[in-house]
Amino acid sequence: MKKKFRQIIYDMRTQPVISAVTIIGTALSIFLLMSVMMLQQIGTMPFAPESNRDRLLFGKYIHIEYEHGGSSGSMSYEAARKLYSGLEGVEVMTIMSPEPNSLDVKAPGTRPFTAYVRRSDENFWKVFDYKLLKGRLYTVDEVNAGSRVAVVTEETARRLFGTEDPVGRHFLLDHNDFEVIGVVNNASQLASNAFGEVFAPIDVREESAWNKWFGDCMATLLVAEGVDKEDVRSLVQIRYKQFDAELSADGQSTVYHGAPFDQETYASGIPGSNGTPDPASKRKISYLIYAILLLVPAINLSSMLHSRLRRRVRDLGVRRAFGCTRSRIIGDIIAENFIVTLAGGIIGLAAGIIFAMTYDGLYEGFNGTSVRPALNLLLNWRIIGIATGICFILNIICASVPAWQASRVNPVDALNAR
Amino acid sequence: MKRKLMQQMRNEWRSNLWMGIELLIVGLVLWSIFVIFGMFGYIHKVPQNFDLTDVVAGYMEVIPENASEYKPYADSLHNEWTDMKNLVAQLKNNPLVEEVGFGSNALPYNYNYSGNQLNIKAGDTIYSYAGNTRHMTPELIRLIRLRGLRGETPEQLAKIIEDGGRIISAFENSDYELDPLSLVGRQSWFGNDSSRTSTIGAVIEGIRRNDYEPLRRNNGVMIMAPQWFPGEVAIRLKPGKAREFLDNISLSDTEAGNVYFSNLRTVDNIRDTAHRDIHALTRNLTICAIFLLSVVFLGFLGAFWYKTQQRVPELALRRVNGATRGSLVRRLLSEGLILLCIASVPMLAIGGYLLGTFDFADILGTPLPSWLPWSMGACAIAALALIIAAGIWFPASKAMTVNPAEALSDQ
Repeated sequence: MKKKFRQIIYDMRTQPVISAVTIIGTALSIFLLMSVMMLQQIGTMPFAPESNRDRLLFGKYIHIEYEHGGSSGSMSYEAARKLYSGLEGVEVMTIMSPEPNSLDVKAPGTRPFTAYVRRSDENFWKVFDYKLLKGRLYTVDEVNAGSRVAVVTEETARRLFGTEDPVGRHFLLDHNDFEVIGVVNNASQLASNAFGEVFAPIDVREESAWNKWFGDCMATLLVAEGVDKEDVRSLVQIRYKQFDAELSADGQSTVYHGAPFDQETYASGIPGSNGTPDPASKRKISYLIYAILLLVPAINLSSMLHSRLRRRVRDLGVRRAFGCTRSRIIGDIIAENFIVTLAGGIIGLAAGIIFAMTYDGLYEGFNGTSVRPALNLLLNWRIIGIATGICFILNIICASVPAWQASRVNPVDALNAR
Repeated sequence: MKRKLMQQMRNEWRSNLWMGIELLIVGLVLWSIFVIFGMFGYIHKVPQNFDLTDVVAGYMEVIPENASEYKPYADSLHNEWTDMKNLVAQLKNNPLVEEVGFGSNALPYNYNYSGNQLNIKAGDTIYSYAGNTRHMTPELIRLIRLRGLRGETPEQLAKIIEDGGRIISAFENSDYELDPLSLVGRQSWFGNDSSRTSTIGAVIEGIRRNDYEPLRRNNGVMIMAPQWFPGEVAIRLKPGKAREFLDNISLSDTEAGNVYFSNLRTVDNIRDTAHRDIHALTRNLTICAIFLLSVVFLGFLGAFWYKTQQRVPELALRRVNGATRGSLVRRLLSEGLILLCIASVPMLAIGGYLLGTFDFADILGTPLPSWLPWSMGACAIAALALIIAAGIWFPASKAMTVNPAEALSDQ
């Protein structure tokens, strides 16, 4: 191994421009690929308070057709319960507001400011793993009673009261008096389903619903370990059919769009409340982008490697003359090149992480403002594994042909430098 | 000399083939990116028919009756409407304020769609017009300086709304072969309710939802007076005073009774938010284009570095035989540019085919001029040519510094 490194360093020293181009090219390639991947990964990889993303299913909208038209939108509390409560294979189901609403909050004697307010039932805290720092979370009785109690994040607590322990204190939420009963940790806006700055019980009495079936609710299901999400989806389809039987009395029926959706589908974008998401086509586009981002630099790197190997043709001739097999030569070249690719990959990954943390516009929050992810979201074993995998694939693509060509060198011609 | 260059390129066909493939892929991707940029630029150049300079906008909110902060009214003469009027009077006392207007789904740079079907009777035919309903008070029309298709002034358009009329946008890309202006003066009604008619008072160009989105049929607009408590408020300030107004406004200036204004921002700020997605897309595509051009640059730099190193004796011989440094650099540059020309043939063929399958009119609601995508293709080729020249320049100029006597001493 030591010899290999010495060989690589010697090789690079003798051809500094080509080596620099190889490393910069690899770094650039890994940088862009990782930036694109990190962008997509953050939508699907689990992190607190959405550590259970692998087991989550979302029922967000309902679409009902009438004789002359139809309506679609977020569900009412009743519709959410009808379609998603008590499903077999579901560990917990929470009914919550689909997006946090941006509302005025104001503590006595202070200026109001806007905070993201998420309404939910008590199960929200079982589905999403917020850390309770002070006080307690709201209970089922408080949700059913429509109690004006709230849980706030530590940042909101500081902004409202100038302290991290405001339990028992009162503030105005959208002009209504609320009591703080608990404080939880802050969450990133990238956790788009769990994020909120103020949490309060959902309106189970449907005061905000504009229609029996439409309101401001969505259902999030935490599927039990080992249960196939498709089985849960089949049960939901049965619920839709039962619901249709009920609606038919009024000449109405539902349009099923494949709900509940998993995290990947949800992150790839749901085309409104009356559309059926198509994650497969989005996946195809992603693969095409990856292919272009891999192929173009690979062509370059292959050509660079080819140039480097032509300089080493005598060395390869000697090795062949002393009985080295072709497969060994191919293996050695690919291994040597992998180390060079890895070096470029490390530089590219580091550049990608710095870029993702500093560049505005890669990640967006609820009001379109940029969100800068925390380092632990970008630098973790999953990302490192993917980066290494990409380096390996890039190496195989760019080194295979030159290595194969180099292994076919005739020892006599090589030693005569023909 | 050129024939010899082609022969030399043919001898190195394998590496040239790979570079050609690279140029083809990069060229196609660059072309697509440039078409998107060209599309945005072309639409952005079309002027909007309103003016939101020096306007701040926000929402008008009402404290609900069940809220703890709700202030009950002493008598039936007072209600939210009187609070709203008091608030407007209060604001108009501010020397920076010129006009205050209200609306619902009224201002551009929001993506709400309040769809409705307007029926217009022209002769024996009833034309159905599906579009986005925007409710504006006459003050708001004056405030945003909306202009009509026939040159109607904001005051004239405001008068139409004041008199209970409606304003519609031109029938862009509609199925009707009908002059939209011929609808002025006709009676119109929504849905099946033909008992409540209103006259079409004027036709406007339309209101684009943002500066990069073209007018299309589904964002045709129908403007009328607000029929319920409006949600949007817009305030026109004296020229250049929007920021100063927002910096100095106090809480008491924006609330009266149970009515208050929230989220007041300059329209520039609202516009930036509305354009954020497009700007992010443009930035990301620019990064992608820079990445691809950098890859091409590195590829040509490396490949020609190697080639020039290999060809040092050949270049020295040429120098000895009277070739100038300039002619040798040009020869190397020609090699890269010939490669680009060869790659451009399939690139233009594939790109042309893809353009043929791409219906811009369907996607954008308006056809793009045919020269635009092709000129973007030319830009992509020009960008590649520049980057190839830059990539070859360094190794070529480096090779020219070699002393012919030293280079040929081994021969």
